[in-house]
Amino acid sequence: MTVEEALSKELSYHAGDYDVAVVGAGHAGCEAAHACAKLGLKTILFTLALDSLANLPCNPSIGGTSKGQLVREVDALGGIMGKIADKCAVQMRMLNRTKGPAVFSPRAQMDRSMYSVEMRFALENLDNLTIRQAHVTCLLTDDTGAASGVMTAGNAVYGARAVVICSGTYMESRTIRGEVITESGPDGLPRSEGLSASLAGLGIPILRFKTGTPVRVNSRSCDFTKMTRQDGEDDVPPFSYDNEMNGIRPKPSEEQTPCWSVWTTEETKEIISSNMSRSPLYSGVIKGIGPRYCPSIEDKFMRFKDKPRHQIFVEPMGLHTNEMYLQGFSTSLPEEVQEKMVHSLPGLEHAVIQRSAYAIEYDLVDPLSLKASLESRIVPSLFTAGQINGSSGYEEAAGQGIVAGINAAMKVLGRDPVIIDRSQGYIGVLIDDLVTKGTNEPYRMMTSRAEYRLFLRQDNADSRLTPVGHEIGLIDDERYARFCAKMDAVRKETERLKGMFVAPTEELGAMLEARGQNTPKSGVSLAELIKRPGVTYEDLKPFDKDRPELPSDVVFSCETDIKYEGYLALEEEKIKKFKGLEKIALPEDVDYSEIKGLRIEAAQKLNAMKPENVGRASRISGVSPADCEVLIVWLEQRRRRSGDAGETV
Amino acid sequence: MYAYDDEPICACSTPAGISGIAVIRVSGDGCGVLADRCARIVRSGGDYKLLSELPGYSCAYGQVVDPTSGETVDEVVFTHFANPHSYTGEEMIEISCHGSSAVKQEILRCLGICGIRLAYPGEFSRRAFINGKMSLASAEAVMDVINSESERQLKAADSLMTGKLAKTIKTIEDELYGAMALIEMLVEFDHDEDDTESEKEDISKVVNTMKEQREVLYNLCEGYTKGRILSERMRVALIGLPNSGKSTLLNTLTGFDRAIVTEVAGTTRDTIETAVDVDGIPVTLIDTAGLRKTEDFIESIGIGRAMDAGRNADLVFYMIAPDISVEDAVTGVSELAEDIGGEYITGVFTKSDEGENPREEEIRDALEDMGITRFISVSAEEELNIDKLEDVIREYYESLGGRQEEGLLITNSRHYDRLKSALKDLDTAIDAMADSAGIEICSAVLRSCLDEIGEVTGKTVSASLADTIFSRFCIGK
Repeated sequence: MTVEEALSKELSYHAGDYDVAVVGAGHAGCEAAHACAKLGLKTILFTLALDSLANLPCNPSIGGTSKGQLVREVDALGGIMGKIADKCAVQMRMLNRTKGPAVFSPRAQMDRSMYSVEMRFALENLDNLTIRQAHVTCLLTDDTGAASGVMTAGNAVYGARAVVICSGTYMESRTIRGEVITESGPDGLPRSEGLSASLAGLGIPILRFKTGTPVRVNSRSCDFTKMTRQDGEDDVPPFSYDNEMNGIRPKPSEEQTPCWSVWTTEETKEIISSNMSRSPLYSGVIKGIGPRYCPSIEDKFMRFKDKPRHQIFVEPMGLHTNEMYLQGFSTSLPEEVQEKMVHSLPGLEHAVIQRSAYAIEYDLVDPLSLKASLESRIVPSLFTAGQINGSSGYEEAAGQGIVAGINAAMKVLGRDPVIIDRSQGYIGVLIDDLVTKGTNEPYRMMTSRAEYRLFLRQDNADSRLTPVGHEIGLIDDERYARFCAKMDAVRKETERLKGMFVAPTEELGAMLEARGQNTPKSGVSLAELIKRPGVTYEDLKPFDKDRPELPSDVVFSCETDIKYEGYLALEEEKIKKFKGLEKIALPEDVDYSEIKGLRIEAAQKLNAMKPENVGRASRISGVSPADCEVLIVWLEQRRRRSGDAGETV
Repeated sequence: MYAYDDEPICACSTPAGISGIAVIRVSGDGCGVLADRCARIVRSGGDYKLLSELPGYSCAYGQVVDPTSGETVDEVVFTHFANPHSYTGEEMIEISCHGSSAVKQEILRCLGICGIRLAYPGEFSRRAFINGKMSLASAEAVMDVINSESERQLKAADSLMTGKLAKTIKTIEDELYGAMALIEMLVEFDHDEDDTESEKEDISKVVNTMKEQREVLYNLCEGYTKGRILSERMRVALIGLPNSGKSTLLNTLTGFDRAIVTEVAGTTRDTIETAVDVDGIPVTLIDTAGLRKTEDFIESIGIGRAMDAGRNADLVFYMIAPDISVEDAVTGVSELAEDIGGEYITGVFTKSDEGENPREEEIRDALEDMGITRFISVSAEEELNIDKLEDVIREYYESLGGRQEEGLLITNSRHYDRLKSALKDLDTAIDAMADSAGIEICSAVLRSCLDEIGEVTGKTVSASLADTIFSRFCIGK
């Protein structure tokens, strides 16, 4: 349907024209709208329920392994998630502290209601952004088939030069608790109807996934003496580099709120196994494909039969509520069974359930139909981000949201799309995996998905992406100047550490010996000492007389870069190779079946996916190295035909 | 992932199999400087000491030298081509060497040590095309070549990668995947403080797996020489002064009662190569010109060839006639013993009608000083002790690593290259765990180890890792 056709419908009215319309105000939609508005585009953000904007419908936490990196990357690009999360954190932890700094990951427990309120307030105060509670039911397209606006259930017709859809788990969703099935979105919110059919009608392939969320209980009914307490930590940097550079740090640990953990019991296992027949997952009621990494508790017991028990975390939902979230206890068994299961846990024998657990099924777009810019290959000027693309998680959504927002803006402004590649960030890995390999279950980010993990750290997302954010226009000059000063400080201190030699004194020997290291025979640089396992920058303070006072983020970056130096050099070699292929662009208007020498399977896959460059083509399953050779030769042939026409070679 | 780059590459450009001479091609800007490490210029049109100094389109006579041991591999002619005046348009070197497969393999190995990797099928032509050295019409042909080459390679790889060898490499891969998945689990899902015991257990499991697989991988790599012998024959040179009984011995060894596989033309003008089977071990016997100091120019060339044959052989039988003096016995072999090491040389006292060499004791002592420790007395006419010669061949073969009877030999040099790199990575990964450099470092190196193995098994790492993790572990918070 075109805007004109929509307007010719009975009772419809023209509600305004925008540069970009963002549908859905979850973590993807908020980032997308924020980016567009910041870039000066007239933007409208639609939500089904304004009071649930930026809702955290599942776990009340942001960050975690690889997800913490994603949040910091979003911030480094100029996004908003990190700043709001810093404001609403009730507990901060740095995961993987016992491992190396490359895999340190910040995670924070959130005050769930505050997060929604703060995000909404921040967006309401943005210039160029209109927020509208409305039910978008149809995507409008123009004569060329490109997205041109949306229509709502209130008969309003909005024109837009680009549309970003971030529908989360709302499209045609239904929640399931045992035999009880409800047509609803998460948390009892209304679901999105019609939009999915409208997309399918335009030829976009639609898939259906499933996910779930656990029980919430009232803390007054819990006996915490039977649980293990888990406190927050000091010295965790904020998510936002801007906050970090401005000295805004998380609350000290004693002011943070604790989490708790318990183990499931024999009884839990028994209750579950005797009620498996009532599980919609096993009875076949649920057809959507669920995530393997975040299985329901019954799934865990069924799949890992040798494991007698599983750990459950009891997490606060906020400062102004007694509600506690049972992390790891998601289930789609009936309410009656849930009650028994919760009461089988130590400390929760008398727990009062405030919300029951449920599974939810929803429609999504096959991400293989997307370009790396997150623009649809089927409907130009339509962008999608978040769970609609098959991902799962707030952070994964935000990472795609900011990229979709930026590229919707670039499209309207007539500029080239911004692609973050696999060597630049987890965001790049996430999007490349989704659009190149596709997914048959909700895709969760994991550090092991990143080939260049030593390089993609939570401490250096700014050095990787802030220059990109500045060039786009999302990072202002003032913040960029602070960033450059930080980079300078890191460089200077690293050089100083490499040039400063210390004598092999007895004191040094004693310090090294305490860390299981030999005493050097002659003078050695501070950098060489930092490279040794177990030796830290702090350890060397007594031997480093002229040490300047430096902020902790600068020290951390220096220390990490030095410790990993040799391995980073190897990784950079690999990145160089990777970039070589990434640079060879493939035109969009190619019929691969006409290229002589390509195998049929490869030609079919390439025609279906139309990869942007040879690098992406090489990652498509079914495209072999020989096929890539053929592509490179063919490209050169084509270049010469067009470039040196008439000239003899 | 497929590697497209402009790294220096090398390959043998003449057909496989034994020929008079062969040409090995090296391409890539900066390849001259890299190859300097294994190239010794002996004579050239100017006062050039290094291969990379040679002007374009000029040749030099010299040697390819193993950069690790300093041993001469072959006498060759180097031709240097300057960028862009070459087949590929990049700096290029062509090495005209002797045509035996052993020599070719050795030269490619030496180039590899210098940092020049083996070329992919069709890579020279592709570079030539990209750099504008080939017409559009030929480009069509290039694509055909790439395709047929890759098909052929695929088939070759298939046949190489079946049976027990494939299974063993697959097991190494699977086991290391398991270790990797366990490491990733530790990284991905932070254990709580009360779980450190199980974490320690997991780590020691990982270390044990890596160590076990390291042994398997090490043995596979060790067996490469044996594998090469299986595919290209063991080279055994018969060397000695004229009339020391070489020919008689050769005739006996290749007599009708023994299996003559084929008779091939000599790879050099003055040596004769004969293929025989010794207990199933394929052997090429090389009969050389007599080693005698000579004024005769032609004969001196022949002796040069004999010395070369000795240097390039796996084993040398040094024939000592009954009438030879101690002095002659020593000079006849001293240079060779120094070059290849006495342990590869067996002293063979031949017996004639006149009886044993009266100076045998003395000669033995003198040769032992050069590191030659194995001696045999034979009489070809009476077929006396001939089987002892065969024992030497068999013992040497068995002393090489690898388990042929189980079909566990690598014969392909590309596979060897990859597995050798994988072994190096695996060692680094084990070290990283030992000195607690961090499991993320271990994981990074293990990943590149699996990448290398993946090039042999045709699997990519990252795609399957997540699946391995999901299928094996129950994931917590």
